[in-house]
Amino acid sequence: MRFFVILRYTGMVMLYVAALMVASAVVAFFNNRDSSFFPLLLSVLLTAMLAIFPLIFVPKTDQINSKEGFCIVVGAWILACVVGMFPYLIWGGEFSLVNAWFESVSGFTTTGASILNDIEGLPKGLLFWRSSTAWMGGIGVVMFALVILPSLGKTKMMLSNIELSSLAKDNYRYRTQQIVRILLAVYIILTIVATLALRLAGMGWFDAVNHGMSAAATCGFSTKNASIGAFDSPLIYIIIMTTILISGIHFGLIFATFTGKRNNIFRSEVTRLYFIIVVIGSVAVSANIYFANIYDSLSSSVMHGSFQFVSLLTTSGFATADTNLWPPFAIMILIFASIICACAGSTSGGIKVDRLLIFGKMVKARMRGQQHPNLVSRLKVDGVAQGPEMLGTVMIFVVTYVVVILAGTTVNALFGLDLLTSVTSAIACIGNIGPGFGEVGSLNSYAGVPVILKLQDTLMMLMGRLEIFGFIQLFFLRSWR
Amino acid sequence: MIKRISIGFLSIAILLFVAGMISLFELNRLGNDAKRLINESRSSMEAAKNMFDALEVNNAAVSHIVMTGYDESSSLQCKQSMANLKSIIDSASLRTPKNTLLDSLAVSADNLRTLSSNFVAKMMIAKKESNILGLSVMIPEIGQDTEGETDLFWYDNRYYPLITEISDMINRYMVQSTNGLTPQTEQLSRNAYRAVKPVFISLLVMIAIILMLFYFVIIYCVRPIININRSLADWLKFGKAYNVKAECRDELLAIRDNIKSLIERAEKNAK
Repeated sequence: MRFFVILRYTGMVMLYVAALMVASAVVAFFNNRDSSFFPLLLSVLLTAMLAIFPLIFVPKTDQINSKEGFCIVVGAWILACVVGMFPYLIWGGEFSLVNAWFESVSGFTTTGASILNDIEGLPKGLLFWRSSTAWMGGIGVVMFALVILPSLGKTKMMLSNIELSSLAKDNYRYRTQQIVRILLAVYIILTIVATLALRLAGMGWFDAVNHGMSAAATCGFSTKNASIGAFDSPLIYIIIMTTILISGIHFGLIFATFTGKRNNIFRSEVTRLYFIIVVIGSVAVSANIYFANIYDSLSSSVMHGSFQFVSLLTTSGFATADTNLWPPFAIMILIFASIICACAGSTSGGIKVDRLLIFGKMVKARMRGQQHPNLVSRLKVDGVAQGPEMLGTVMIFVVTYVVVILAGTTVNALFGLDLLTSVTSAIACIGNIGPGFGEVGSLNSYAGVPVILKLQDTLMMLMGRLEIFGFIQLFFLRSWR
Repeated sequence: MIKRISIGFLSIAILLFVAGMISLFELNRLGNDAKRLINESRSSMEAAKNMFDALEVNNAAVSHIVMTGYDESSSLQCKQSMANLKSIIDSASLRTPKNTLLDSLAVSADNLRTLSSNFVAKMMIAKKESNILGLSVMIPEIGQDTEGETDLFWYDNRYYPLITEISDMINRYMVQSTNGLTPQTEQLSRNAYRAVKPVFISLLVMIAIILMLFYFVIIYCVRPIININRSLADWLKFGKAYNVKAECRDELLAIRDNIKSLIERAEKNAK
């Protein structure tokens, strides 16, 4: 393995992180050079130096092997999180070393969990930086760089193959270069449309841009302490809900739908199941909170119930209400949503509807196999037969996902968290959702969580973002031949 | 290679410079904050002391008039001390606006000024009337106001309680100023920690760059030289073909190619 090649390409990704820092510094500059201007400027310098140094020394290479490609992708994610905490650390305030790391990882992995007690106390430059990390992480830090980078030939294909989920690639019927362009085009258009809609709905430009970026990335970072609930506007709730709902769909399918291709969202089994889950879950939660007299009117119950369900299903984590106060049935439905999450090929995390669909079909096939022992059946998704390798991968992923949640819950409980907080914070971190229930509820922060658990949570966020095995593999590089 | 190594060292130099500048800037800011804190403390103590002095002078002047009757110098002292007290309170209020204690102090000082100036004016009229009547001492009735209050009674029951109240307020102002310094001192210690952080991060990045530079120099400079040397030695000792792989496209590649040409020429000459 050529370490210098890894340094070169991770350096390239770092340059784009530095570029976003520059954008945040510009925001700070135009806000009367607020207190984040100097920390952001210094962070730009440090990040750019770290990034440029390997680019100067290491010559360009088109040939990288899968092990190097893997290290570049994982290394870029981790390094982005490391340099991402520079502005927070230098600025100070509530950001200790662990808190800054938590906020940075939470941003880049689009988890949206925060350690801040007073978000509104942050200067605008730093608030914009938070949203920028989420926006860059939404599409994937490496993918982000690949779209803008000049042609890298085979290297680009190798890196995009590692960065993209294997399930996500299935629905793309384009060349690598096209895939990354489609991804970015859909992502940028979604962000711009969401921003403009929020602005027209009455948000200020700054809030609209930040929430637009955060919603497109399904992150859940808000500029307000009370999250979206602070705006108290049904129109804003609907815009955010629509944006995160769309962001939870496979980007390739969104592109195909708008360009009139056959494999669009209306024909996709996965998307159909996704919408069925959205409707059933929203109705169940809304009805439960309405009959429990949490809200006075049916419209308020439907608005808050469906918003919270969609927010957790798409792994956004925006909040319009304190879900801790809701009845146990609604909480259970929301926990289910946090485990299932949205579609592969979107900006969301979690198990994903695709795997749930395959898992369901496997259970059905197993039942039929028991009834008809000689039956030979092929499992298909969207008309495409799934090989045993894919089915095995899905099974292993689901089982490992559950095991990681259980392990995380156990460690949380060991360090004194109550059971509800322990379970839901583990689910929220591995699924890149953000808020859970109990002490880490929709309107609470992770500020009160012990330091060791904050570190564990960031580990789980990274695992979730790199689909578990991508992260675990990092510890078994020596045995990778 | 020269260019790359130069850039490497230049980067380290820039980072060192930046880290140095940041530490200077932060230390300067910290120094200014500490100076401001000390000045604030000193000025509030000085203000309290001056307030006490003004009060003391006023008390002495009024006491003198009560005991011996009106005289010009005591009247002047009384006026001046009240003007001093007002200006000290005003300047303290300017330094710490929205301080309710200072606002109350200003109101009480105004009351004291009115009370003492009315008393001095009354005593002045009493003295003039005594002079007109040609008396060597003031008529006792003249020392009484419309309510029949004697000067001593006025001093004990109206003037002195107000003086005591103002003294208490000044004491409270001193305590408040001292207590107010505690959070500022804590903030200062936090700022000191914050001031060290950018320097610490810059140094960490510099260490990372130094390690990278070391690694790149080994990979792109030292290792090719070792390979060239080993291959050349193999050719010289055992006649093995000179074949060196190079990751770089710089002066070392030129050396490798030149040695190769030299070997080819030597082999040709040998034939």
